[in-house]
Amino acid sequence: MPLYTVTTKQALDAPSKQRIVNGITDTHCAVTLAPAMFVQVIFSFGIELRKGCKAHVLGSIRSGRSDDVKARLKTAFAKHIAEAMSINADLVQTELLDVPANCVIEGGAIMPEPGEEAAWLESYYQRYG
Amino acid sequence: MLTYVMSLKVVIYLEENSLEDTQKNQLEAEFSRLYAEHFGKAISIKTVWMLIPRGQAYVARESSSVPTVAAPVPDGTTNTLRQQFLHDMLAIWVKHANVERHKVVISATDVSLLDTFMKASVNRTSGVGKIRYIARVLLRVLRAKFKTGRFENSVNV
Repeated sequence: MPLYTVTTKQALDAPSKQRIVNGITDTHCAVTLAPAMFVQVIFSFGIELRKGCKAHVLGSIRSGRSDDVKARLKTAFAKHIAEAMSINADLVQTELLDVPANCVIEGGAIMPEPGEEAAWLESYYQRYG
Repeated sequence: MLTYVMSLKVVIYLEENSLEDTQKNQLEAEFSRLYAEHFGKAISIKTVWMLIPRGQAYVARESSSVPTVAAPVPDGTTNTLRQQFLHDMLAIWVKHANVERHKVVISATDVSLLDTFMKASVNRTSGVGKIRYIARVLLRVLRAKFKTGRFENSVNV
């Protein structure tokens, strides 16, 4: 976690997908300081989106992020996706849902709270290298 | 006497062709057993497999086949029970999917939170598009149930 599902009507080619994945991952890591290994992105194609929407991002993120952090994520995602798809950023919509960290197992252990990743990562690398 | 049974959906996002049919069937059976063990007979579950074509899932910027299992629990479940349940789900996945412990993501949120996520997913569409989307998904899931015995769908429509 986070898990971001990016939905578009038309399937995207590999370079566009990679560009979006890089943009979402880099943004999430820069804004939240979470490690890249947590960031999952899934693409979903063939879905007729709401009027005025050409790309939709549904994100499940760990609870505890401020409104300012969420706003920065949304703005940056719109910019990256719009550039990759050559569309206006207004046509990208992002919804973020808060998920308590203690409800998720990832990397073989319960997820740490935001900001408490160091001990979790140390334990992870001891176990899995 | 009538007994109220709560039905929960376990939703699994999985790369296509990454598990055999027998593995999926074993996982479904073990999940049902685990829910009954932790939450009693007042809970029944349906497992829905959301299949992801190769090249549509990424972790840490790279293509990934790590599955995500959304296994909701009744609202108000204690943290102790939730975390024991999560560890037991992980043990089942590791045993029957034959993967290492760190190669799967499992969530056990309150069922109301998963419902919110599923509603947001459906609400990506609106109007006639939404009706078409729901109809196609239902048709595909029921067709898969008839053919394979499992509820299966694709992340693509």
